[in-house]
Amino acid sequence: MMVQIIKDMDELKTFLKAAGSKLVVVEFSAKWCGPCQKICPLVHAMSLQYRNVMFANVDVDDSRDLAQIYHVKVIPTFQMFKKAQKVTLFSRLKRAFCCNGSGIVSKPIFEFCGADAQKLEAKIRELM
Amino acid sequence: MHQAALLGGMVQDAPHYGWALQPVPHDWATMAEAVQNHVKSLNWGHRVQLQDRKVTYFNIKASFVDAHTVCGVSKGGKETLLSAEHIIIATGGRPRYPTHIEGALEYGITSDDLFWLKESPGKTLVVGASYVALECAGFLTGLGLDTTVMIRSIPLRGFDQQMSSLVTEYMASQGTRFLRGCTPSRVQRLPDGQLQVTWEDPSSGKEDTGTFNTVLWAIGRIPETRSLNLEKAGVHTSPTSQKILVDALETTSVPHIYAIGDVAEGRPELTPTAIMAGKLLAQRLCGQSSDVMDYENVPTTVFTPLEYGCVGLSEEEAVARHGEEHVEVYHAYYKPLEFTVAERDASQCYIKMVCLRKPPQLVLGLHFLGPNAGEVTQGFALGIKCGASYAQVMRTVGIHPTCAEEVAKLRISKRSGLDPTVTGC
Repeated sequence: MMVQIIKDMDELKTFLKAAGSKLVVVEFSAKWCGPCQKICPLVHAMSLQYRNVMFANVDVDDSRDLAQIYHVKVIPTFQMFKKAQKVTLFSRLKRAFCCNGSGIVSKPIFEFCGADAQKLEAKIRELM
Repeated sequence: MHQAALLGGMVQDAPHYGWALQPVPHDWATMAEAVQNHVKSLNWGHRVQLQDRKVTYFNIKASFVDAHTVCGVSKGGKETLLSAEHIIIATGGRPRYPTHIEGALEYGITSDDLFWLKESPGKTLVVGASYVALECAGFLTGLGLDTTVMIRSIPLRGFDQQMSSLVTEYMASQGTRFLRGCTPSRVQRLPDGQLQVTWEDPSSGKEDTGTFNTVLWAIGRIPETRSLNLEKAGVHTSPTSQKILVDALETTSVPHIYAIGDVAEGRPELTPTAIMAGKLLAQRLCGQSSDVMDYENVPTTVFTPLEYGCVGLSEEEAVARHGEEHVEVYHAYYKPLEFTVAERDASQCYIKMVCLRKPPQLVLGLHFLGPNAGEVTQGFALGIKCGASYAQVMRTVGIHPTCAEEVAKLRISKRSGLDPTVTGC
């Protein structure tokens, strides 16, 4: 499974930890969203092409809490994570997070909304 | 789905305009999926909005414990107790099933189900004369399905009756079958899976039967109050409609409990009306304003194959309120441009404006039957809200070529007895 399905915060934390220093791309999508269905095969292709990038998918209806925590409004939204290194990687932070009871929530380093596959790929190549 | 049906009509018109289109088949599953996806995206949009405005959303089924306390049960069975200073009830209504008719519950569906069917409903019997019944029967016919409407008495009760009969006349001309004056007595399932409906036909005095794939009940809606335990809170409902009794400020019999939308007695059962009433109530509760909802002159449109838009009083209401000698009705039949080349029958394309007879002749009601009736009526609703008079309508220049300009061109009154049918450009 080249695109990991993620259901909740625990699974996301495990996934991010396993990624180590690799770039992680998490797509928030929904079954009823047309653009999501269109970009789906392209994301799968990217997951096969870019072996040093980890890809995951969150269904906003199945995982409402995760969608809420990450303030997802538009679908599809791609949030990219990378273990903190230095200056250059924090290129554009869309939203700040507050801590929840169980500890500090991982922050994405970049958020990309919409189903423009070319732009998405360009950003992945830039950050990976 | 109404739009899908209209497109079918346009496909038929297309060859007249030079498009070499063959008749095309319609696939219910494709359309249904698109509609269902759209509805789900709307649900998502609402959730996002609630989140944005920091509204705490409890996905639980609520009922009253007492006037200040509500108990909610989650899908998993977990109970939550909530108490509040102000409580607003907006639970709306649901389609009514004729439970006294044998087989009605087991074999019939309602509008709630129709939009979620994965397969085509096939040959359908729609029971009812509401706008829901006529809109559904209308698009089912337009999609090529064999459709029958069973009406107990009159179509579109509460709406202008002259306009209502033009609506059903048009539907009949498009192939919808009507069984007038009939009431169903039972529904049975046949061995091949089809449904057999038995009904009473008072004109012949006999019973008749028919076979259908689907039976759709569209006989009215009932308020969602049964499971609320309103008595525990002291909230009174109407003994006839079961709707919650409210005053002009949406307050129920309990000072801090309010009700808006379809669940409240005496309100137009329209979404935009409920939304506006809700917003004004919220502003009043926060002390931001003292504005009260105006339920007069609320425009609406029935999206039957030939659409009917209206705002203000029906002719009957105007005459009842002011007396026939004080009312002037201007009317006209017209032919939409899009019907001409396509050689469509425009016999029911009709407009009437109900006014006071006394100058400047205040407009009491506008009724428009034709394509894009919703778009046409919305604009004129503003004029009527501002107290437009017929004198002002006469001074309004029309936009050509549109159907809406025909409203501004109304000159013939019913009283004159002159012929209101189409005359040239």
